[in-house]
Amino acid sequence: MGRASWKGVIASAILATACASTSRAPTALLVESRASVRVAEEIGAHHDARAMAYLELARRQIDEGERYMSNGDYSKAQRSFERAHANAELAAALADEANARAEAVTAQREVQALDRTRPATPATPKTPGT
Amino acid sequence: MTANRIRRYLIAIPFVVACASTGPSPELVSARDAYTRAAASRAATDAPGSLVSARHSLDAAERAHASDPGSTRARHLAYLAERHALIAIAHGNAGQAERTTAIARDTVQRRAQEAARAAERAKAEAERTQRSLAETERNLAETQRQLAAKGNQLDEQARQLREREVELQAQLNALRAERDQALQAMRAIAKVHEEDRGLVITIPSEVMFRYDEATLLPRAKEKLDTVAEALQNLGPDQQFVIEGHTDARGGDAYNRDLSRRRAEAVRVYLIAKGVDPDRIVASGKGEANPVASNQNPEGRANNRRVEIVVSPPVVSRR
Repeated sequence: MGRASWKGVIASAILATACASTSRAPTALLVESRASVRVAEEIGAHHDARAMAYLELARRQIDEGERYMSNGDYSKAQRSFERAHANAELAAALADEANARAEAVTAQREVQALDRTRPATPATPKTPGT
Repeated sequence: MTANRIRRYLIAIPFVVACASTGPSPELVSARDAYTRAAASRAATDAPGSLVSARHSLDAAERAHASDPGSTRARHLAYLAERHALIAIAHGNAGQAERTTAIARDTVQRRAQEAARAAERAKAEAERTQRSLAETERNLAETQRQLAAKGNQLDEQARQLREREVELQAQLNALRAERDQALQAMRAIAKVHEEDRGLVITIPSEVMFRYDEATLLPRAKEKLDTVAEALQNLGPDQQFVIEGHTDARGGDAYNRDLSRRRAEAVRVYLIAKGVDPDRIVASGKGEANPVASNQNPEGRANNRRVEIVVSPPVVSRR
């Protein structure tokens, strides 16, 4: 299974469960959403502007869902948590992408530095761009 | 079917038609667009699992839209589908970046290995050069040692040669002294002079022989004793030629015979006095080689003579 696709499957499963029982407080979704936000934070979403925007959106949606839940509007709370979960995942993915890009740039600079210091440079394999 | 039920269906038809004809919500439009971009992005190759999830999410949104267009659930699922498509794009980009990183790191590692191998080769080459240099230095030291030994040997030979030279010079000086002494002795009894053919000792015939005879007079023997001693002191390498000469009176053959007999008499006497017979020969020249005019008594007296020619060099070589 590819990158984070299992998360989508789990989210779908939770979504299906939640859809089937909106009469109960979507506590599990709340927990899942918060966990997703923590993951995004740990990955470093606050270092990337786009990721940070989606992270902030997820936080607001969790707050919103909690208000719905406290008012007994579980359906809206559920949707808020699902959206928060998706946005937190997107923030994590964008942070992951930013990290990977930065790492690629660093690695490519290392190669360029080696190229500069090498007196005779035989043909080097081309690295694809990011 | 009752009229009321029919009426309810008729009332519901416009709503069904309206719903069926309702266009996609903005969320669904965004979701479709996002998925289209995701499918065209690197997610297809670098995050296929995420792309499949996004597809499933969009399918769910499409189904919700088909069954209940514009509904809250349909719009919510479309919202989620768009996020999933964006996640797929991000995953694709990250995967691509990671591949780039992996390739670059592989390049760095390969370069490091190449550098390590080059360093190893350089080290081995340096060690070979060092060993070669050490070997050359050892050979040089050995050559220098041999040269020093040879130099010492040559110095010793030169020293010996100098000693030998000094010794020979001393011998030469001694021989010269003996020669000079011998010549001095001979000058007292005879005329001595140098010619191209050698040292010539001239003794007048009157001193040694009676007229027309070849028998040595007693006074001649006294002089020849001195000559014999002097000749022996000249050194072992000289050859002596005893030449008898006459004046021009009388026949040529006679004069030659007389001069030969006189020369022979001198030779025999000198041999008797110790001169090596292998080094001395006698020759009668007759009147052939006059040293003065035969027209007057004085000249003829000078022509009658015995010459002892000492072949050069006078000084012996050892």
